[in-house]
Amino acid sequence: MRIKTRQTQIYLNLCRLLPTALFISLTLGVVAQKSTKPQFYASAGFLAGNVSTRDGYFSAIPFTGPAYGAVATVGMSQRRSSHEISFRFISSHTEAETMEGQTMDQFYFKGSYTFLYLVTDPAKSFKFSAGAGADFQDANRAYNKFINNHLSYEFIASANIAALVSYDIQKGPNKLIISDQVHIPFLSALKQPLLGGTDGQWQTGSWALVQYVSNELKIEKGFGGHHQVGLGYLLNYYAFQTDREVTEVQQLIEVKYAYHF
Amino acid sequence: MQRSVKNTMPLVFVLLVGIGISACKKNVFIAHPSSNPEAIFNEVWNVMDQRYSFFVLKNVDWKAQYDSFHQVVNDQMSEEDLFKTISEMLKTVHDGHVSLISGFDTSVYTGFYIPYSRNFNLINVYDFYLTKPIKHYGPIAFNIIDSVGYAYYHSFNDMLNESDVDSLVNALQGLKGLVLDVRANFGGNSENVDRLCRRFIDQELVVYYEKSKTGTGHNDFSEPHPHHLKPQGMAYKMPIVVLTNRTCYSACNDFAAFMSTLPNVTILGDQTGGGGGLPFEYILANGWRLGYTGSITLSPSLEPIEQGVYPDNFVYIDPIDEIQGIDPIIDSAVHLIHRL
Repeated sequence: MRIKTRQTQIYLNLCRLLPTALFISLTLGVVAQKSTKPQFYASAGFLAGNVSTRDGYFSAIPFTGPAYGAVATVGMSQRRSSHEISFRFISSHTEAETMEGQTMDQFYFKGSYTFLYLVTDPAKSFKFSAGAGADFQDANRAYNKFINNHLSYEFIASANIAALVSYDIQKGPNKLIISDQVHIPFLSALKQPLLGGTDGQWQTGSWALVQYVSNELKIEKGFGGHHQVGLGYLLNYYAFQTDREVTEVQQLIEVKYAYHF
Repeated sequence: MQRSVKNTMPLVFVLLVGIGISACKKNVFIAHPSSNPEAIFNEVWNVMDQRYSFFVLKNVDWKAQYDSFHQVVNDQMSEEDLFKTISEMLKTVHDGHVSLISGFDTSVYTGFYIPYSRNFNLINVYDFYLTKPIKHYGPIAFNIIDSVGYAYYHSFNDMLNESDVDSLVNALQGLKGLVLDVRANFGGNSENVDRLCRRFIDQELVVYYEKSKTGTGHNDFSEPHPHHLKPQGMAYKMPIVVLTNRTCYSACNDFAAFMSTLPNVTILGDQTGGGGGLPFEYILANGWRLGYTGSITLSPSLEPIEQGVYPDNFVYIDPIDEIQGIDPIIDSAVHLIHRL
């Protein structure tokens, strides 16, 4: 039986990034700092790993496959506080785990702002920081071998709490830092297609709407005061229970270089 | 030396763990769906319940179907028996876009044409109407019968290029009209419908409206969304007779519904088979594919066309005529154009 097919298109609406950008600007402006000299840094890195997505609109079977991407970060830190803006994109080519040839390609982009306040003594090796942040994440997926509806997307903007634990090992002028940073959202806005189409619909809610945990385990080594290289393991999990429920897990190795001005 | 090895141990550990996890083909963080018969039956019923678009129009009590068919489902039943049970349940919606495909069988509802007379014989068409010198304009076979152009388009799935339609329109110059035969055309790509239809209009028109599902309720639909079509080239304004039967389905059904609204078009033959909604697919946890209709297509006059499009004149093929190679539907169309 031959059945009708129609073309569908989804366009990225950049206007939806605006609320997050505004939130980031406001947050940056209201955080007061003590009069220690700020230190600025910038970093760039590569990501490689694995992405697994279960988009319940298409199937309950997860689509899993290799992923690669890049990350760029700028930040500023003072004696007890730090601000960081980070952008990350990940491209993945996945396949239904039990069905060969049933593939899905995803392009994922995330931008985030994080403010952290150092709770413990700055002079101690073990440090604990807590804070908050805001981020947006945009995922666009293209499935093959589905009639008519082969595109899917979601855009999530979240306000989240953040925590960082780290341990410094000082070796003369060089320093080794082992750290783990986690983000958990408390308020989110989600845009995704309606059940049977491609037109987007906004929903807002708390953890009950969008659940995600973003965890980054890193080892960074500083050289000569300005240079730093790092190796990290990134685990990003998010899920939302809507008419078109989606669960996604990203596990990536991160290799990056940072320059401290 | 020992100290430097010690310092690099955490680094090596993280690297190995990361590489190990990223190499996994299955993800441990996402639970895999259950694929026992009970779970598969429920998955099919739920997907249909939330997404199928014609429960209300067809007055189907889907919950009653669950109660009826679920009785025989158990975890000891074979894959084949489960397939049969689900197929039977799906057939209660009487929809040719609803299907179930497994590695060992395919189930599609055929009740929209099997019980009815075909009113079409392809061999007779080629032996007695598409006789030499037959021309092909892409997927369209063309001949001239008594100063009338006869074009047969077997499937909207066969790609139709602009140049093909140009050639068809050019071939019609000097003829009294066009008989456009879309019998036994089970549909295909709607772009081909557009490409053909825009040669018959001289102003922008709505070809059809589409209502999409907006929620999981049986009546949760968007407002009708119009699909506009702009004319292409000089509109063909001579008389056109479109031949249909019960196997004109899906995109072909859309085509017949639109053409019936044009003033120079007459629909002749039997009613179309229907298929007035967009088909979608879902992969079940055991890998079977479920096809379902997820929208409602409306005619330019905002009427549902799922039950088919009625011709202006019903004309059938008598079995005796068929044996003699006569196609009264084509003959009537040619005579009709001569009378206009």
